[in-house]
Amino acid sequence: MLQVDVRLALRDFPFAAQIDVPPGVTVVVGASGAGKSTLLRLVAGLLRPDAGSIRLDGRLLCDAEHFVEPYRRDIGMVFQEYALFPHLDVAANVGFGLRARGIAASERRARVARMLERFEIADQRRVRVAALSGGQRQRVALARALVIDPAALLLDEPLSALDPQTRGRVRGELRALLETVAVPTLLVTHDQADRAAFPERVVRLERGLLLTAAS
Amino acid sequence: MIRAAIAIASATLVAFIVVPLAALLLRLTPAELIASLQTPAALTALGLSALTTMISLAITLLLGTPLAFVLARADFAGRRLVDALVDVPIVVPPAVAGLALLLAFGRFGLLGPPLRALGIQLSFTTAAVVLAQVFVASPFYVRAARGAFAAADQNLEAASATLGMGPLRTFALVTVPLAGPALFGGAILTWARALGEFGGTIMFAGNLSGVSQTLPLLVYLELEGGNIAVATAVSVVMIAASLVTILIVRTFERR
Amino acid sequence: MKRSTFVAAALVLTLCAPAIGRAADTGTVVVYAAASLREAFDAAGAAFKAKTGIAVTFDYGGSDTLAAQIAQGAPVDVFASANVKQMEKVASAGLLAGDAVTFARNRLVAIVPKANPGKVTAVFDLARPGTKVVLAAAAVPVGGYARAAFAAMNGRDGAPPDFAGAVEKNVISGELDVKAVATKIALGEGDAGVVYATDVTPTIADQVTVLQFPPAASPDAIYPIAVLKAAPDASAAQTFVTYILHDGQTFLKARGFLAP
Repeated sequence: MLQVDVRLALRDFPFAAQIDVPPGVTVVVGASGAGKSTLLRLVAGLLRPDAGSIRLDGRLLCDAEHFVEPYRRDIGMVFQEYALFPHLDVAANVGFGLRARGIAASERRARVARMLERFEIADQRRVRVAALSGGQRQRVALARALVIDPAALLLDEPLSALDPQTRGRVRGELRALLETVAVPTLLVTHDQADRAAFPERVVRLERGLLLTAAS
Repeated sequence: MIRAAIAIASATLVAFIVVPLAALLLRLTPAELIASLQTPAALTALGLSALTTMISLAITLLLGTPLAFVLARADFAGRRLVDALVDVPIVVPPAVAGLALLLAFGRFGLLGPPLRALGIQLSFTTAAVVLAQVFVASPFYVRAARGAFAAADQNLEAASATLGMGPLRTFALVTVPLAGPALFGGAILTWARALGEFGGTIMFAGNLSGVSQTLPLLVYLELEGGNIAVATAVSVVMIAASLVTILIVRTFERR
Repeated sequence: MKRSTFVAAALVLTLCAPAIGRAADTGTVVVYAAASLREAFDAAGAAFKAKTGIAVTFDYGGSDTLAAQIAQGAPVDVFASANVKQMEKVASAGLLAGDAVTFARNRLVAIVPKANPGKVTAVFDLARPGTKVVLAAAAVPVGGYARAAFAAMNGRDGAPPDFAGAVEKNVISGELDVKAVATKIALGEGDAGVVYATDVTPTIADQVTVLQFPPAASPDAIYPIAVLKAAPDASAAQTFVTYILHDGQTFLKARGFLAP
């Protein structure tokens, strides 16, 4: 369980979110500029809240006195444009988080290989990410975030970087993949179609205010 | 008509630049060139220039990289002033640079007494050569690195952080490799500027074979002594170095 | 119309180009003079202009550099050298209009900073190990004179047999001209330097102490002057040379030069 209760003064409006995210996908919908990325960046530790606290499975990530740095949070994040490392190949991108944890090269190779199999990108393991299609990039980003066995998963508009033709197909793949993920997962999107694809739990964000009961 | 005028104007300037360079190259036969370079003074100056420019480059990379990062990313009072100050040596006349160094680090300069207390005299030493080179050449690297760090995609650094890499390793494994070509280009420019450094060196480090007589000083001195062959040979080496430098920088800019 | 104007302008520029390098035609006497002559010649040049109406522009530098530039065809009317050797170089290249004449003599002195960090009280102290000696490079006339003077002192007046070698070991820099030697000693960067008596200008006189060489060790330096063949206005150039040999002597004397 991811428990978020934070406030942060943004330039245009105050941001305030109070939400408990259970294991499984929670979709946060809202127009662009509503503060969706802010919510994810707060949870990831890339932003500091003015007040409030964030807990993950009972572990305090931040409150008035404490702040766990993003690199110690064990939270996987898929960025809007995927933020893949252009100087590394697919395998090195996926293995990056394992390298950060000092895991031996042999074990790293094995875990990366398993992840690439699972995401059906094993053929591309030596390819630089610039040569990948949009859908392949998204799978690399997801594999990179999941290989570290994160305690929570954050997805920032995971489909918006794709062209409309592939978006529908990739949405189906993403849904199938996320069904196998058993940690609290926040997926933010402005796209109503995404919301329809993940109907289980949907919340709405409007001008920095999180409305828990959305439908 | 206008095309012809443009062509003539362009050709004139190109010829103006190429002819003196060609004159240097054509002055000596390859055998004379090699013989002139094998004089003890030339070999010593070659070695000293290689040594001092490498040390200057290392110091610039070590101190300039963090500085460039701070200038590109951090927001602090006086950042713009520091930013401007770092560029000053690029436009300062070389003799002014030498005088400034002398008045700062010379025996009776600003920092003379504390240095003397430590038993250090900088002027007229190889260390002074390095200081002069760092002073005039490091801004070229800092400029290039600052631009690269400012232009870098910070989402990539954020991604690295969420994957568990601390700030230092993120810098080493993500920021620097991505800025790599620009950093390399800046480093090459700095090295070339250090290699050509003359005014600051003669003012601050003097001129002594094996201690402070770098290639540019040797060229000047051999001319004074009427030894045009050695001066020409060393000049050819320096022009070759400049040409290689420019080609390397161009190649990296294109990537 | 615009095009033809541009082309015409380009044409005029091209036609003028050969003349641009000959600014000396404008009635100005161009004098290449040894760096040690700067103060005396600047003053003499101003007085000369006041007297004759002929303007003089000076280019000061190491005599060897100036001689080399003249040999390479620099447009110069008069050459005033700090030694006979460089003048002979120009003469043997056939570039002189007449004979060179001696117009001044100079003398070597050792200078030490007023604070005297090296505790140098006589020229002999320059050989003491650890003394930081600044000389002009051997290729620069004053550097050559200084080394010749040291060699002449070898084993004399109580100096060690290899006095010159011992001094050479103490040399920390071979400066590119005599003014640079004077500046570095005035700034206190070296313990002692060797310059011409005339380089102890009023500007630095209170910052240095002057030490004399033994008279036998250091013969006077001879300064010759000559009009060059290339001079476009040979009579104006000759007028200046004559002035330096007579009225101009006042300014040379005021700067410490000895009469020819």
